[in-house]
Amino acid sequence: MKDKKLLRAIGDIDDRYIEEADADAKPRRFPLYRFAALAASVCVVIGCVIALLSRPSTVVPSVSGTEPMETSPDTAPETFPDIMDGRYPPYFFIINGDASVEYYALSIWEALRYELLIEGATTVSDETLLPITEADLGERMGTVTGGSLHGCTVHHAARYPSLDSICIVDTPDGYLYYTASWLTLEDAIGQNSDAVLAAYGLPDFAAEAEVLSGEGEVLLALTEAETREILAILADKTNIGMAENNRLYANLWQDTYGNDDIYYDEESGTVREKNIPTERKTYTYTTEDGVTVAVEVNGNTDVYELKSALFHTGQRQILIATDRGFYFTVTYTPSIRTCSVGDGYYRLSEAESARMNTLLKIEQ
Amino acid sequence: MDDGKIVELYHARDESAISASAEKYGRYCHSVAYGILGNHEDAQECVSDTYLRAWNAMPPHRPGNLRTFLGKITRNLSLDRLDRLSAEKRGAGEGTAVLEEIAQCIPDTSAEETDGAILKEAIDRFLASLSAETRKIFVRRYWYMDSVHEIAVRYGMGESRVKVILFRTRNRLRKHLEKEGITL
Repeated sequence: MKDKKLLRAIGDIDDRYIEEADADAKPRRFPLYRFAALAASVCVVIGCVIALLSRPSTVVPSVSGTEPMETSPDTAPETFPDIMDGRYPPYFFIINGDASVEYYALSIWEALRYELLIEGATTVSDETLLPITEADLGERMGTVTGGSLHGCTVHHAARYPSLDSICIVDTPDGYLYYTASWLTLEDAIGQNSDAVLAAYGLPDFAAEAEVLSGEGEVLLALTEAETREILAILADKTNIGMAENNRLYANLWQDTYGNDDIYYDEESGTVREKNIPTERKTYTYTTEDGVTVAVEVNGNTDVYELKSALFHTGQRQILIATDRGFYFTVTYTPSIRTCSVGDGYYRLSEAESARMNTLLKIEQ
Repeated sequence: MDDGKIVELYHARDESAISASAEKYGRYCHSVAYGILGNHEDAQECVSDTYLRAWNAMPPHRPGNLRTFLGKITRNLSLDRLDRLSAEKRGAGEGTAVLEEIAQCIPDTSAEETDGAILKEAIDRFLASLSAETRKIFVRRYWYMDSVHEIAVRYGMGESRVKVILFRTRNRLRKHLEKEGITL
């Protein structure tokens, strides 16, 4: 608790020190923007909505120009509400009411991907973005539904006429780029993976594919034949859901170590660890000068390290770009033989998993 | 839109305060949350909650620096979430590692627990005593919770050097807190 108290106290330091340390900001963890995966899209939206609705009598700021409205558990709808009904902050918008594609403000990676920055720029700002003129406008895509830009006209970017993943919005403040990296799809348990593949136009419209490590490092590019084979493995699978996926993790732990230090919690549907007493440990660092520095820390990280090694060794992200510019993103976890796409979890057979390991060059 | 105008929108209960905050500081807040949690979904939820907290705090609050005001809310919410994260997600960001490091700064005293405001002032005095370079590295690690690698890249130095600076600065902080009679 003392360490947490100190960490929180550091959070309250003088503003000037926080500003000072951020003065020369550079893009952070840039490669990871590449797979702000499908999972993010669905979870963020549902998370925001649930978070807002779960607060008893919370004032929720309206974005529709009306008075802030009151919500409470009594009045909150039981079903997933229409995210575009004007009650939620406008982090994103959709076009012509099509909720399967959500457009967000430009991130640094997207700005680089679409070459929208002046030379040498490493951040996105009014100063670093190339100006947008009428010549940059492509065909009209429609109008914005929801958020603060409701009703504004949306165009394709003239440089990328076939991509739906980037657009230019004619806003009251001028033209602005918005992008969408993925599709927002239903991920119901029991759903067949073919529906997800079809929504992306796969396997027919796979453009290019690459494989990244769990940490976001690009490991290899896939050939068209390899991509097709991976998509064939993914076809006609049933979504087992996140809870069942977590149960597989817990079972793996128990099968491997014969204890329940890591266990599946039925109530929450998550994997948890038992309360394990902390101890004082010594870590050593070696400096550039070859001097070894011993550092003592509190805490027992053994279980976390074991768990991480057991569960996540060999985990890969597969990014398959589609003709519309969206990324079909698969997280493959060889330890439990599952592929996750968004909130969908699809289990492979032993033979399929072995083939996947070969295709992705995962050493056993 | 300048910060003063955004704060005025909050005070006027104008919902466009939220979108203005999101547009201007959404990316900043996301980077703060992501540094702690290492997960885009959790980070985005913390950022969403940040605007709601800000909406509830203003009025009556009138922050002098909206950027760090929102950043501090995001940081606290992210630490709350880190506490709650399931075993599966734990350790994805830098939060867990930072917590282990910060334990070394805890002064070895046993007096009555020091009030939070006094603790903050003691830390501010400590930061003021550091060189700008050391202070920035310390704040990047323990406020923004950057990884050692990120700090090394940011300031163009080797990771080992960053580790040594952090190690020495943690020891200095512990001694400083002991000298000031701080008890956690």
